[in-house]
Amino acid sequence: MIERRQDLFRVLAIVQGLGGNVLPDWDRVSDRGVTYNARGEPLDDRDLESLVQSDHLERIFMDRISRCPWCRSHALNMREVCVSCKSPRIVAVQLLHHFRCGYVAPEYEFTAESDGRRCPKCHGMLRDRGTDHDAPGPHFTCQSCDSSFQVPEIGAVCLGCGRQTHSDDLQRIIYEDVYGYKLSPLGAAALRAGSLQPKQTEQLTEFDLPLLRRSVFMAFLDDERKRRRRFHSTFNVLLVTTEPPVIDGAAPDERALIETIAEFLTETDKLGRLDECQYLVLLPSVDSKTASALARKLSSDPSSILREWKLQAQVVVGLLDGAPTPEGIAASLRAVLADG
Amino acid sequence: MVDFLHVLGSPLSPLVSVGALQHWQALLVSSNVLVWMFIVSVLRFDVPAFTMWIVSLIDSRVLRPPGRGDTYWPSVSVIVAGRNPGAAIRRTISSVLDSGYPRVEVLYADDQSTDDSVRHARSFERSRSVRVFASAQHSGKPTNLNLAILMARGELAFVLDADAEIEVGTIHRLVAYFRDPRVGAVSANIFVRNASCNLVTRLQEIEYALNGSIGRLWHARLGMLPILPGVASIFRTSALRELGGYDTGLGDDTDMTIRMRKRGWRLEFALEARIWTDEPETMGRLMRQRIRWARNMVKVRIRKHADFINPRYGWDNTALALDNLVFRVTLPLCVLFAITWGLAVHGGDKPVLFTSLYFFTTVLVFCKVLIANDLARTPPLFDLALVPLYPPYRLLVRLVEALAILRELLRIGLYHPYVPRRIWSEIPHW
Ligand SMILES: [Zn+2]
Ligand SMILES: [Zn+2]
Ligand SMILES: [Zn+2]
Repeated sequence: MIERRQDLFRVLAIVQGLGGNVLPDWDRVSDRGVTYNARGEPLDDRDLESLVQSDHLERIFMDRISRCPWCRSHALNMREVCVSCKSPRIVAVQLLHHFRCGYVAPEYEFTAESDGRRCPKCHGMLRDRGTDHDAPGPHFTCQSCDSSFQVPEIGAVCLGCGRQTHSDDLQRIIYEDVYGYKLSPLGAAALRAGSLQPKQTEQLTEFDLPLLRRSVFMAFLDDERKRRRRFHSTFNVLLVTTEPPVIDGAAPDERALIETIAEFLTETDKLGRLDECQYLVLLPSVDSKTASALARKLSSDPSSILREWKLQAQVVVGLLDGAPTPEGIAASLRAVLADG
Repeated sequence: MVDFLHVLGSPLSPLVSVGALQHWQALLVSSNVLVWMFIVSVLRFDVPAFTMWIVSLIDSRVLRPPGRGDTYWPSVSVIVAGRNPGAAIRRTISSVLDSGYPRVEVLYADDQSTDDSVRHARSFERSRSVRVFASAQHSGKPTNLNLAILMARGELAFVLDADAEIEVGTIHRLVAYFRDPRVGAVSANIFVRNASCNLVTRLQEIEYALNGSIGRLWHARLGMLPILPGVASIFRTSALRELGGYDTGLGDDTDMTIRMRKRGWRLEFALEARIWTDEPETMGRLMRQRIRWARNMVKVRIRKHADFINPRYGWDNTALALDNLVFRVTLPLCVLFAITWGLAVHGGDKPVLFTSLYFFTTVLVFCKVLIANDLARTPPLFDLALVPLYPPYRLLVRLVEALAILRELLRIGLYHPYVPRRIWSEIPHW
């Protein structure tokens, strides 16, 4: 167990050595189709995922890989096919519509002449698109079965086992998301402390601070949302943003800040981290009026430490309603901050 | 005759007294315009219906296609063009997919709907035999039908309205007529889905039964079907393609019917192929619909296809053109004229004339409703209670139509938004 933790700490250090993040490399001969490399040395993606589970790393979405539902190979050739016979032998054709007689046909049926095209139905001329004719929209015809359609289907052929996948079976294609990884604030703190956060599975807070680890905080938040759906209970969330004061040489004392914020909270309130210098406060059974009052109190508190950190608090519970997952919540809050 | 009228009882006593009857005979002899027009209409519209019924009692095969019950199942492409049908398109497509016909595909051409019609239609696209074409421009129904015809792969193309529903077996009953290689198209039998809505829709239910079901039945059996309704008619796809599909403009179904007839195709009517559609629920909407139909009739039958009367298209078509000229154009105009003139000259001094005409019309309608119910299972018999309201309803419709015909003949207010403006300026105006 201790060895495993040391291994993971080493991986974390490697990520830091790479500039704080590691990105995937495409690799078609590997099992997954991607590998992670640190200056030629491969990193095991299971280690990286394990560090995500313990909040030391965060995922960055990169891409999505599709795998054959029959043999799981990632060498899946996806292409547009005929809606009827599933043949990929389809061609896009340009349709023309002659206003005068309503005739609709592929462009090649209208014979080209010096001053336009001649309509095979009424023998009138098509001279100016938009005035006497137009193109009704994209269109495909199948050279295998002569079917014509506007939206081709997607079909897949596996280069590993040769089997075709289309129509209803398309839902069985296995999609796998590919991530890059970056150091989280907790990961950076762990590197400064010289070891991974102890007892990672049981520990709820970051080191000894009254600050819940992000995954723990998100779990509490999720519980509150479920409770509200079932019992119509109320809760609120504050977003607290700060700017670390510039003190020459020394690192700013985050511990003092967090302990000060915690003094404003009751024992049922929960303080968690969104990102570096950004925190969330979960206020169960608190209505929006009380929550706003608390936000104002925090933002305008005269105590020196909060002033130094230029602390700002706002009620954000309404912004979370659309986001179904903890990742979604974090993303939507970051979007607010970026706008803000 | 006098005895029979006496049996009908006292409420009608002013009509059935011997004196009144003599008055009626006097009217006949006096060659009153209204009376003669009434007699001519009975010969034209009622006598064939009664004859049809009697023939069907002798040989019920006239009601059905030949070779019923076998497995002649040519492939069918159901062609739907729509603009903003919304969720109704789901019902239409579902009814086709659930109709029990083994070889069917649905092609929906969307005329640039502004609602979510395309999404509804596309939801059928992946797993079942439905294909959708979403037009990039608003071009009107004929163009969108042509787009769908282009995509069709069936031997037969069943043109269906975007808010119509078919029954289990409807397609089976339609295709049976195509065993005869001379048959080019078959009309389905249209039922009013929202008949129970109010009096206006109930009266239309009677109208569709008498004029639609029974009228089209005997016309078709005489080889004289005048219309393949745009709501639901099935064609040989090759015949549609030979004609270059629908022409742009108003009255596309009438136009297609005449062009099919000019090519010498036989047109049939399938009494048992039922389709259901909503009809106008207010008098205002109903009248606007009938005005549009009347004007399109003049545009297409009188102007665009004026040569249809030429015997080189066959004497049956000449007869049809003459019939249209006499009974769809001249007669309504004469009735309009006669009533205005009659009221102006006589005022209210001929109550017996009007009550007599009303009485005999009501009796005829009563009998025709019974016949329609017997042959076509429509209208339901409780509609008999509404029969007294039917003659004034038809008279109103006819008068509105007559005014519309007059306006169209005088080319007043030609434009109709059925054809988008950018196309209107390009098409020939008949
Ligand atoms: Zn043309
Ligand atoms: Zn094909
Ligand atoms: Zn495979």
